[in-house]
Amino acid sequence: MQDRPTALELLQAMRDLLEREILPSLTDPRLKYQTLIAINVLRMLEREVPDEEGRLRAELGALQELLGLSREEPPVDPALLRRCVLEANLELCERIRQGLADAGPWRQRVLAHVRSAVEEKLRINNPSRLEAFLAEPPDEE
Amino acid sequence: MGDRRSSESARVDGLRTGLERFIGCRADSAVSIIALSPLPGGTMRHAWAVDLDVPSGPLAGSHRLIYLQDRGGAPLGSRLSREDEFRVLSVMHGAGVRVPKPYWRVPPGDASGVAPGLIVERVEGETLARRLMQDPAFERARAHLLEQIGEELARIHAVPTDALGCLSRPAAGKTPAEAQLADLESTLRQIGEPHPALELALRWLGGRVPPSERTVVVHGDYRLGNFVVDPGHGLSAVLDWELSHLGDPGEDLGWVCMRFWRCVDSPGARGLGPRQRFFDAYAGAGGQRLDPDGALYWEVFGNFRWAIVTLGQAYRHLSGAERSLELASIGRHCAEVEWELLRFLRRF
Repeated sequence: MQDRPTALELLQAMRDLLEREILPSLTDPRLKYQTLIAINVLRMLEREVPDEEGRLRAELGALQELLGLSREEPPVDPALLRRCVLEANLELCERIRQGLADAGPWRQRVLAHVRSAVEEKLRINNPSRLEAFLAEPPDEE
Repeated sequence: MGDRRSSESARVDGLRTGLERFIGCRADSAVSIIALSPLPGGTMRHAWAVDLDVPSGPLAGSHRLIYLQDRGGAPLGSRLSREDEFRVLSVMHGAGVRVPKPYWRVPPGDASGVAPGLIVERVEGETLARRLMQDPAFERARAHLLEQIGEELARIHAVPTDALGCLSRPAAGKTPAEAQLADLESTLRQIGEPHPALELALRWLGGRVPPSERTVVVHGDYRLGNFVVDPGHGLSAVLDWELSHLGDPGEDLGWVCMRFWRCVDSPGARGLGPRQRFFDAYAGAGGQRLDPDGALYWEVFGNFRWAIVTLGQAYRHLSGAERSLELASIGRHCAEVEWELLRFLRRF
């Protein structure tokens, strides 16, 4: 186990530095713009780092269920876990390309799964956008 | 900090001297640059505002210009070379389309030492969507902007394509949609990441390709952000022709309607007005009217294309073609486009 500060605490410290000291001292508009992007990226990472493995395990379980794969115990090694999720997603893509999700009940399951996977990505990448999306009235059709 | 600042100002001085030499040769006069400053934004190129004074010769007077500097790395597959972009701007300018007047193309390896790029007129006005939508100063311009955007697009689509042989066109035997989808799919395959939402969209689009009735110059990125707007008379110029190509007019129409640009109203957010007003203005100025299926198709198509563009930008960084935090972070925008695609696909 790593000593404190944790990865999350270091990310926050980095963002504080950029926001409070670097950004106000900049005059070049291009550097200001790039720094704002960096701050935004750090915010994203601050959401991404906590419990990333928990989210990967949940996604793997859902994919195994959707694809009818045997539900093995997810790997403990984070890199291996990531690899498993990637491969299951590649398999899902392959089946969609083959037309297996063009119609029928499996299409509905795929749509529901993909929607919730995209929702998880948005929760990290752009939670305010997600909130706005979720607040929208359902489609007319 | 002192060292940095002086190396920065040396860089600006070097560019100033180079530009004076480059422009001097073409203006047939010694010229002086009164002001030179970097402009923010632009993921593909650095932009500089250039205020130029020409004391004599055919260009005598003051000129407000922009120098768009090419950036390193090969351009994305479908982006125009600078020569071709310069030609498109010239043709559009000649046809009366509101574009910045093109001045010169700085070729690679020019004797002036200026890095390759374009020098074009600097059209004054606002481009930022947020300001155009919210700033009270643009209230008057806002009232008619959607109509102006529709009319201008009809004007662009009416420009004869024969002077623009340089633009890419659909491969023989393929409709514009089929040809574009094949290109976009190959980019997706090249990137190699799994994106189930994009695969679903690709199946949907591939199975519903509309027949092609007319081939026009498609701007390729026609949206708020690429319009220069004057608070008084509204639309002053259409920028960023790097993605233009020959194709189906529906492509630009669908692109305008995408929620991310805030041109037209979408379920969650107000734009400049209902999309019908834009379609009416386009048709009123001689453009073709899309049926509802066609409009839906091209809007889904636009979102799919935008998703691939965001992945492609991140891939430029990841592949090492151009290391940039900005490009890298654009990759994370793909998820919101996927959400939007699923909103359409859920109905089918």
